[in-house]
Amino acid sequence: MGIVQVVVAGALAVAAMVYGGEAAAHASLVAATPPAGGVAAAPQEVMLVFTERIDAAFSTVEVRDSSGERVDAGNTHVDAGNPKCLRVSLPPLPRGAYRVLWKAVATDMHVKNGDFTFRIEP
Amino acid sequence: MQVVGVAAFAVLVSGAPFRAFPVRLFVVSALASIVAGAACLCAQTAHIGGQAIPSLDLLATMALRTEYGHVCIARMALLVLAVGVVVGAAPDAVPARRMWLAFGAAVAALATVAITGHASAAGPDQWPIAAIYVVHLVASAVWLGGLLPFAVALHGARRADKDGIIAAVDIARRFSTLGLVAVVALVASGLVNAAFTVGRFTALLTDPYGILLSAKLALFAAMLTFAAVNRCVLLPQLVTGDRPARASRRLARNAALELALGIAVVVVAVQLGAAPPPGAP
Repeated sequence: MGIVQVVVAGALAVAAMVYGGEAAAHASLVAATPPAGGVAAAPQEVMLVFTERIDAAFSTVEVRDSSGERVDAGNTHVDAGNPKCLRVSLPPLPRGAYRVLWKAVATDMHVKNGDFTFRIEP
Repeated sequence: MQVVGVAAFAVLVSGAPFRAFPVRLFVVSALASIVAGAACLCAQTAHIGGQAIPSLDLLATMALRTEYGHVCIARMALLVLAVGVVVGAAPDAVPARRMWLAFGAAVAALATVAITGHASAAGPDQWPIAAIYVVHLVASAVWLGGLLPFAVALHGARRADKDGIIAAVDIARRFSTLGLVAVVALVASGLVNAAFTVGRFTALLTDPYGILLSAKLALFAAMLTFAAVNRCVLLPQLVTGDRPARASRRLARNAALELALGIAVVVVAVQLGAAPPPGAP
């Protein structure tokens, strides 16, 4: 078998492995609880809903207070009943402004990052 | 795609007893796909984890704890199965049932590409679109991946004697029929995909995704032109013309040109995969 045939075979095989003829679309945030820019009384968790199914292994949701300290429980997980929903638990938090930083990795491995703020007013 | 194309050529065109060439090309293509798959998994892991070279822990997380990793492992396992059922026999003595099993494993491996795509990430209501995409992938693999063994088989049957011409005619007729079925499946599945993804005709000229799709369609039209010349002009010359050896050589040359255009189609398709469809956030 000639080298040209081997190279062509290999090239087509490699191309097939990265073939993504389908359209790519990143996981965009469509809903958040507490809502972006909103006010909550005593949230027990932050819940984010996206347009795509999310893979939990590499997705993260962090909540930081006004001094930049991380305050969430560190248990980012995908909702058992909704694979497009990420959740992270919150301990009781004092009044003030908080920032949510999220990294959503969809099951097709496309990554999107974002952040927003909310206030706690008991 | 090459793996499926060569296997399809072996079982549907050349038939048993299989000559050594398509079997060896099948094994080489499958091994190249396995290596490429492992490299893609590593590259994707490095990208997701923000590392230049992914650590073993990160690789293990990707392979064992993500849907993407599970599908990549399954794809490589299917390709290993495809190689395993074939290499157990001498290249020119592979039993037909083993080659059919290898073909089935290769098709299943190619189908997993749809599982890791956008349609699956969008949710179960998009899985019919993923199924259409599988049809598109397999049809393109059967046609595009079969062009190389077709050209080589014609080259091998280029002798101007009666046996050489009979062999060339038989191969050309069978591949032409297989190609026709593949083209019909390609066009039908492509139209459905385009209707769902692009939506409106004007996007083909105004949206970046639509422009890429238009380029893919133009290259596909060029491939169809060569295929039409092969079927309607050169194949009849091969059967009844007074210079069948020349027709056989021109068929082989056209197949090589089709393959070059097909590779360009794949390159554009890869760009399409990275582009957001019209209206995507």
